[in-house]
Amino acid sequence: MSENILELRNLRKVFAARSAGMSAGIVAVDDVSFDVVRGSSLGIVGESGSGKTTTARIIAGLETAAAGTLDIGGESVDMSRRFNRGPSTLQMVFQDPFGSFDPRQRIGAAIDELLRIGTRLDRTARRARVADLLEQVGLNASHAEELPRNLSGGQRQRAAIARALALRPRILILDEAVSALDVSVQAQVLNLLADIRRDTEITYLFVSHDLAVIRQISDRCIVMQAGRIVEQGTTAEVLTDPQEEYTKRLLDAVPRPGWKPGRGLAHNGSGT
Amino acid sequence: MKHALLEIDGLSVDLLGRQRGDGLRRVIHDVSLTVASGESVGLVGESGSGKSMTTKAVMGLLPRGARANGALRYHGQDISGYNRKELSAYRAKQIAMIYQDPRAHTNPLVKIGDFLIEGVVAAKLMSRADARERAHDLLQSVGITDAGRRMVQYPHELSGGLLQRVMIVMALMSSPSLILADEPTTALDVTVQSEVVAILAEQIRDRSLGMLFITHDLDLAAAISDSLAVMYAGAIVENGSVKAIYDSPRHPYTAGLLASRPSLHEVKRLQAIPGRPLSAFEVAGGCAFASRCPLASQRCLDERPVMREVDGREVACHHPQNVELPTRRPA
Repeated sequence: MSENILELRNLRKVFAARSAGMSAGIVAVDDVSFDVVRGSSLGIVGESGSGKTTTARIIAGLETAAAGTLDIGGESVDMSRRFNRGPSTLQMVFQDPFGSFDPRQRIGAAIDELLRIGTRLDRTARRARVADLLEQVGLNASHAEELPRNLSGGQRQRAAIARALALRPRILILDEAVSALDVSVQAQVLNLLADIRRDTEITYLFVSHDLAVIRQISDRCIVMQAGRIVEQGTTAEVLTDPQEEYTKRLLDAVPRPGWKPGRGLAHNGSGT
Repeated sequence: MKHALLEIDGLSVDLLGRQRGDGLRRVIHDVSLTVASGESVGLVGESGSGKSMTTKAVMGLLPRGARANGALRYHGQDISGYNRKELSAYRAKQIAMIYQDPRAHTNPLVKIGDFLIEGVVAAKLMSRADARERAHDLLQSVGITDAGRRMVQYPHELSGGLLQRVMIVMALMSSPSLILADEPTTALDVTVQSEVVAILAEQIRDRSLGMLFITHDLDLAAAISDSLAVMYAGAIVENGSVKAIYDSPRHPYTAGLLASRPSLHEVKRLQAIPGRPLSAFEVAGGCAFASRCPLASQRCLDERPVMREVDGREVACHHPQNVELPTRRPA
């Protein structure tokens, strides 16, 4: 029996206008609702300005919402203020792991810090858990002694995933988490994320602009454009038999064998 | 004998290490590549493969302290023999670059029109009035209908896709014969990328220009180029027609790149290449790809493979016939 771990209703986000002339502000997310089944993986796909990252950040408690309700694990969550959802409930992995690590803190210490706050493990047990976590993401215990700058991009993203998993969160939000990686390394991390989901009961919310990555990593997906959901369904259906014009345009724009780049695909992209 | 537009012949580049006392670090190793007039060559590689450094060498813009060996010939003339005046004429008139981030290459305080005419006027290629007229015409030819209005706007008033079209116009202003495009669409949304690539391809074709298109995206390079050169750790490992390389790669790295991309049509475990991309200076002897290669033998560790012809393309591998072809994806 499937059970929703996350229920979002009528989310709306308005960013304040930067200049006096724009009194209404900018509506970044407008009336977005979706459910996420426990243990599933939901992809959120869209272009820049679609509101996909803002939606993820509000769910994570990093941004406030103007309106809407959010339930996580059956409990109502206040979206009107910034609030840490708790590292054993929800964690986030960002595009650039360089920006999410302290450059002077060793990888092991960064993970240990979370364990010290969130568990009652003693020093020895924490050390063992750090080693386990690093091994789970394909690194090894010796990487605990490294500074972030001494790891390659792929290793750093693995370490960021290890840290996010430290307190066994129920939900992992991945915001363009593989977009900055080289193709050959991206495949490794995508395989790793698939393994973690197979071995644990974790739920993914995977934000990306890359349709092929979304296809690989998610069961269901949402296509967003200009702050609204334009299409949703199982990922296989949405990406092989899209119903909406916008989804079709996105798919047509993906380079592939025999692809002819086309003019007139960008709709809002040309700007003012 | 007819000379190619651009010939890179046995180019090697060494850079000074970042810290004092570091020796020279090799970043480009024996790269040979030609671009003919009207031909579009896709140069594909991951980070640190040396693809951008190759374009810098072609522009004569290597960083201070860099040492280049080998020959760079433009219409058969060695660029390294140019004096200052010839070099600046070559850069101003013969060759043009389009970069990844147009915002980093425009001045936020200079209007689009002034920006576009600055180069050609400074190089005394045309008068101010002629340059304005040309900029206006070119803006229209890349699909910018209200060219007059755009020319008096500032860069921040244009979207990324529009600004990249302005950069294409900038590249075309001096009627160059060779365009170097370094990841020109990587920062753009897919629908905008499709449009910018279409415009670029159209301009190149209509004007019979040569283009070196640098990208990390093999699918994109294959879609707009006539031939492909795949770079790994500062060296070209496979070089040939798009069809040969895309349909039946003979270098395990090319095959690995093709197999590691997720597909839009099916979900299956990705065939990742183990390890991470190396830079040229991290490679000791032998084949640079050996540490990540499923086919590596003792010979690969001992002896660096040289480029040779196999099945209608050039490949630097000791075991090209053993490369497993990636399963075909439906178009």
